[in-house]
Amino acid sequence: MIIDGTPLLRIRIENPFLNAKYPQEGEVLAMVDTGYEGFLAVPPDIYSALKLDQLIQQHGEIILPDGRVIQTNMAYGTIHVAQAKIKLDGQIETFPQLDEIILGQQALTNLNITLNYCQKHITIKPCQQT
Amino acid sequence: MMGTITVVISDELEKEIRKIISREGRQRKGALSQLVETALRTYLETLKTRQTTFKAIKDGKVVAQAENLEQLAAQLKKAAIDPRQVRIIATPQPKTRKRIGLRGTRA
Repeated sequence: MIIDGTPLLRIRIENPFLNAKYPQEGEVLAMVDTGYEGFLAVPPDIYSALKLDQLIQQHGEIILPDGRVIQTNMAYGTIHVAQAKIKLDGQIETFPQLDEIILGQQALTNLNITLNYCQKHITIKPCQQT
Repeated sequence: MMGTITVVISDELEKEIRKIISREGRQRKGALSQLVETALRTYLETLKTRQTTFKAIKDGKVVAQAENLEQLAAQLKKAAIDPRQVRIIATPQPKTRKRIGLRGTRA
């Protein structure tokens, strides 16, 4: 779906190692950000809800458009994109004050997404079907 | 050694391919085969780069290895290894320094 010009995908996030998922029921909206080179960035409270902070942390850096560099915590997790009937594994990261779920290039690499701004909807398929 | 395969493609794609060959002045014999081989090699490379292997490392040793996290988690469970005690890595390794779009600026 497209809301206020922002493309959003419904996803469910999982930590398969500790059987945690977010949300507990249904799905959550993730913002598609082609300017983000990572897989998935989530706010710190969602990162904790997924128990990703209980796994051994890896550390990375995010370069903001203004050149500032922010340290991030990362752990591996899974996202389910029901609309595309696909599960994707990758590094999920978090950093302070992030308040949105951001889906980046590493996840999008596996998807064929068509944005229809005329009718405000998104068509999404796994790459294999293209 | 060169193999011969017969494939069926749409008229539209065939026309497009022949137009490209003609435009690039590669009408000589074998140009179509060369183009198909290059396209297939590129496709296979793309598939290879999409394949990721996940490993769980404990005390410097690989204790589990799988093509996805679900399988890796199942292996750890079967081996009664606490996932909190292992470092998980992926091959190819993703970047640790990444750019983020304007939305990230809000943080």
